[in-house]
Amino acid sequence: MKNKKYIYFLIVWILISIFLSLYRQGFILLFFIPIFISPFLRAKQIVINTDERELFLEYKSSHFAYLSYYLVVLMLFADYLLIKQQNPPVQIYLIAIVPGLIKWLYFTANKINAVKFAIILSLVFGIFWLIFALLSHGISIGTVYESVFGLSLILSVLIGLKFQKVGGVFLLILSFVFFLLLMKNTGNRNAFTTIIMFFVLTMPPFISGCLLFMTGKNFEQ
Amino acid sequence: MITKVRYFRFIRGELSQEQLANLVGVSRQTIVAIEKGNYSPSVWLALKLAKTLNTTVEQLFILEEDINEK
Repeated sequence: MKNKKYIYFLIVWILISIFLSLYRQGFILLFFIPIFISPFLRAKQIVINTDERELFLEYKSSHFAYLSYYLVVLMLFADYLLIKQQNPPVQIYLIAIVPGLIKWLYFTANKINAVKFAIILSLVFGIFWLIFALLSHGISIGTVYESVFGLSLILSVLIGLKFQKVGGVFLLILSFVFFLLLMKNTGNRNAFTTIIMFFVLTMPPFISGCLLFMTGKNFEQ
Repeated sequence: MITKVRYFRFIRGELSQEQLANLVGVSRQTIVAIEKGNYSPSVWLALKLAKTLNTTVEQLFILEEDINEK
């Protein structure tokens, strides 16, 4: 798919998303799909018309988007703390912390060795969840259920060792699934427990996934 | 940095920006940006430009400090 075809595809996608969103609000989620599809297309070089200057401009625009994103987060915090005079909900803390952390970790990990960092991070948390499941439930069916977290992390890392990008994608999907499970079972847990749970459950596969995917071969021109 | 892309483009049979862009595999806007000095190309692109224009990178792109020294 060349750039022009891709742009037409995006326009059609957005129009369909608008119409469906008017019909049912849940279809708003369709808007987010191109955000994740675009890097995949570029990584596979399906969109081949992007040259190095255009790529540079794209990174620059992403950086400006990142800054404006923080401006919006700042406004949300100001709204809650100064106008409504109440604590912001846990989701706002998450959207404030996560992108900054990813940016810092990506930069730092690449200075050391991104792939090693990603693999060690996911392995450590995978083993941690396995031990946690075993210690919590002993040898029982509960251990098997909870081991799924740890085992899926370790399995994705093993795939990542052979096929870096595929492993990265698996880890990203896992982080998304973990996030949904975490948010679904929030119950009456307090906000900060949810944040800590988020950092030990969802963040490791997300960071590892990003690092493996982004540094995998054929991403750079 | 001073670029001589435009000069060498004309020496080499008055190549248009579009033609040069096609030869090196970038967009015309990229050639425009390089000629205006708004964009510094990567080593890969600089070498490719020099090869296409039958010259060397040093002749195509000159550091301002080198001109001052002369």
